[in-house]
Amino acid sequence: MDSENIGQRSSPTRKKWRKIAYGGMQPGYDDNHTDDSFLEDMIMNANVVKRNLLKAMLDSVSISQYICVVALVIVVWTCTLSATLNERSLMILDVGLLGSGFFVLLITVEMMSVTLLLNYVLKMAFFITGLYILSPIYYTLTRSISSDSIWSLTGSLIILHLFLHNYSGSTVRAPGALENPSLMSNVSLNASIVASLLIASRLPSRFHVFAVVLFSLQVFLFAPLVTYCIKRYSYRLHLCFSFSLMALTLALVHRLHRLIFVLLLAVFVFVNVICPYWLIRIQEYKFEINGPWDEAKLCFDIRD
Amino acid sequence: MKRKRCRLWWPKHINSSLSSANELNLIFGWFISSTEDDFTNLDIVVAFACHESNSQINLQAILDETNRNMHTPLHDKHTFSLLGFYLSGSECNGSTRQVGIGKHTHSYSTHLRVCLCGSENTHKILSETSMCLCCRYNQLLEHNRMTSVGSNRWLQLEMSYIEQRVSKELVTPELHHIHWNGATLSQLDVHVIVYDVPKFGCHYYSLGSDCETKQLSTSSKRPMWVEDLHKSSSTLDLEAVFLAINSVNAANILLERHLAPQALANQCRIICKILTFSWQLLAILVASFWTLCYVILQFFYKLFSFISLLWVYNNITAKAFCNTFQNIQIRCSQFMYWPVFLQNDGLRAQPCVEYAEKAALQRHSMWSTILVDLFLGNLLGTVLWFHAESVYFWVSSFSDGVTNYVLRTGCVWLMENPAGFKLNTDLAGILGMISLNAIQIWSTLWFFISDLFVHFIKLLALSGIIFGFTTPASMIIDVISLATIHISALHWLISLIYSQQIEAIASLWRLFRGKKCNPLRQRLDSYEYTVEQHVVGSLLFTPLLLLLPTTSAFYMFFTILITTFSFICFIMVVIVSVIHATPYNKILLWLLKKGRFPSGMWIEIISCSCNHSPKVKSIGGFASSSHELKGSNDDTESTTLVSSIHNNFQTLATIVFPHYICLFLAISRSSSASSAHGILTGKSIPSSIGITLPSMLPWMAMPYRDYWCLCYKAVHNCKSDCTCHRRQ
Repeated sequence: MDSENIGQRSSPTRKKWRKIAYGGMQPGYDDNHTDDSFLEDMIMNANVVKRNLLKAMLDSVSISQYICVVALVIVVWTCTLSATLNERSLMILDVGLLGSGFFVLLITVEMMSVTLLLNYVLKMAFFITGLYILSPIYYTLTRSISSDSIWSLTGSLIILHLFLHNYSGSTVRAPGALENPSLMSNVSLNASIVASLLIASRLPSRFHVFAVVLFSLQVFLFAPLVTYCIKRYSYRLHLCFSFSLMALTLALVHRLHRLIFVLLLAVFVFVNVICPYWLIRIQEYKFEINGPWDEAKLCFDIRD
Repeated sequence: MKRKRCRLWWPKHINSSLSSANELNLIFGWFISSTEDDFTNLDIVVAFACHESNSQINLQAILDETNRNMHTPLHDKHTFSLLGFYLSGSECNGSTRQVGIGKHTHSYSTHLRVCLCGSENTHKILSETSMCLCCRYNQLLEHNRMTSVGSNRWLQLEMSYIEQRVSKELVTPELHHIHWNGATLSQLDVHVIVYDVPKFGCHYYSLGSDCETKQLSTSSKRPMWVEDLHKSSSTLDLEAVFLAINSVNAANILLERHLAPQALANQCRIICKILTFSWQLLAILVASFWTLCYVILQFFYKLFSFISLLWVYNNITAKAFCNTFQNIQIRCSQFMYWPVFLQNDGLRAQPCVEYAEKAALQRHSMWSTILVDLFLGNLLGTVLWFHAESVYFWVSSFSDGVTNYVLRTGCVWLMENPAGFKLNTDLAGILGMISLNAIQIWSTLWFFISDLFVHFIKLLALSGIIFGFTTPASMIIDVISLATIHISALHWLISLIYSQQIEAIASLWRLFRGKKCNPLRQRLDSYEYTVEQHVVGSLLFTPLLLLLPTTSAFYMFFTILITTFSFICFIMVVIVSVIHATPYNKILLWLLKKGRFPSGMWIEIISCSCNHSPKVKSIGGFASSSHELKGSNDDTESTTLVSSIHNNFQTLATIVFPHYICLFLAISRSSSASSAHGILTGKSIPSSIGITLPSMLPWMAMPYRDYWCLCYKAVHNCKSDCTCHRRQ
């Protein structure tokens, strides 16, 4: 009552309305009153990054690179299942991959010390031993299930893995990387491991199983790490590596199956050309407003 | 002013004992009103009538003694008193008799013609009511009676009789007037309810189960209007009325003993003596036989305790045969304690017939249970004893069939791909081989044991003959659980694997979701895990998940088997506890005489002065009859409703059901849900189902002589249960 009276009394010389967050009700104004000056502070498209087509296309190369890696793994699986690749060459492939991976890490990462490397080696040794012990169990795991259902299950798991994969970072935390792996990337890693175990259980011998599981785990776990390190080291090297990988994949798939080759080529074109073009086209419709109604944002990292 | 209502409860038998001609009879009974000062509902329970010539005796002392003998809640609230008088005369009408009823005769005077020796107000009242019939009769008969000393309120009421039109035998009274706190009330709504005097062994009246639940529920908190409702319904106070009616017989006996001592005397003395003698003989025989049994029991008890001290493996046998031992102990304690229960004299002299009946049922429950159980056991025992060989053949062929065609075939079937399940062949092979080996070992053992089995059947028969049906039944339970020990061992093994696997899969699933179980706080905490843990977890998760169908198939097979056997055991346990719990004496009495188990009543309206046609109404409580009275409230004239009360009888289910419901209290929805959860997760199958057996009493160590006396007294006292209703 009092405030109303005051408001009425002072109505000829009314106080100007101000935007106060916690000032309570201003006399003479409604609680939800806003001024004409309210929309003056509105900002449109403040945070939108201008992209050009070339940069978008170059960025999308890392996606197609990972697709290449997965396709190569599948090629190795099919070769092993069709017995064109015996266990000895598989083991050589494993060792070679491991060695080249360490080599790349040594070159690209400056902070690599002897203790960290030793730590990696020790973990790998434990891991390989455990896998060797477990391989007889994997060997007979799906003997009573038919191959078709295993293949379809594997295919769907690989697709799930590709969709949920974290393309910007790596699942294994690289030295110097900021973020921890998210739940999505964990699910994707899980799907890839289950798929590789399912494939491995169809193989003819225990050593095969061990070699294939080791190979696919190496690739799925450490390929993102290696590519991430390469990309950080030199962007040009990254581009070279990606394109050579794509060429290799296409060549191998072409030998394997014509239709899959076409499909893979289409995917590459879609990811590298169509999608960036699409993104640039729809960039015009971007409309983002900011204003005094936004909630406060922290301008520093809370963890520091 | 509200119309006064009055219910007059009139005993049927009183008509015969009343003298027909123009004579004065004293009537005794209770006034039951909710409020002492002013009443809207008054219940007058008439119990007894005697000729006025008896009034020379000191009535006050007799009434006091009768009151003292009444049940406590009754004589605390309402006193048994001389209600008034009742006249069978032909003064007004050819078929009219008058009755006067007065309350409170704390001093009783037989002075003639003198007004009263009491307080002044009685003078006043008498002078006020000098016009009315009762005082006229008072003066006529030169008889003056009721004074109330120290009490301002007393009343006198008078009734006239109307000959019943429907049946000549039933003669109903009519209230003439009532003196209440100095006022003469003749404009009353009277409801005369004729009741049959409850006698022990014949029938009694009971409100039924509704009233008990009502009393129970009042303890909880209720809104105000419910309280009001309870208050208004309490004006009826039917419980007190029924308590009074049920105590009528005891009061009658006491009064008769004082008023007409010669009437009780010898009618058939010789027959009575012969009966008493034969009963004593029976008691001596039973007591001697039972003392012999007691001696044998004590001997075996001492022997058994001595053996159990020596024998080291006592624990194992006690665990294996726990059901048997428990039942034998219960039966032994029942054997020893039945005379104690039967002798229980404290409840014998109940004035209220309802309580007396219930106490008698309680007394006779134990020995009737023993008797029926022994009968069943003898039946089973003799059949088993004479057909031991064929029973043995049947059992061995059955066990062979189960072993070969269920266990072995089932295991082999599981080792292949059963029902299209994609089992892991290697794991299924290992599990199947283990179970086949266990079954083979057990069947080899069974081959050696089977020679002893005939003797076991004979033992079963013998125990049935000696201890009754429940002991061999519980022995069968124990033997079934012993004979299926290989299945339970296999089930234990598989359930261990299965539950561990389920638990591992659940915790790994939580790991993938970034959670971990916190058992201290019963919740899921978030959990940051490393990639190594994740990879190892997912490497283990895949085989665990893919091997789950195999273990679960084996687990299901053995669970089904073990649940079947434990269900058979459960049925046996249920049979045993039902045999223990069934009230055989109640069932027998219900079959013989349904009147001893009333539940509620209905009221048959015989006549109504408002020219209502006679009709029959079935009433659960009393509400409708009071409604009837309310309906006639508008008339200025008083209305009289004559009705007779009849019992509703309990059905067999309502008698037996309460005994069974306490049996299965332990089986609730939550317990069955938890056991189902236990079966699904492979934790445990409930081994013992919470069915309560009768409680075990401590071992009795009484001298044999005392025990004989106890037995003799118990059996001898039973005679009163059998004959007391005859005496009454």
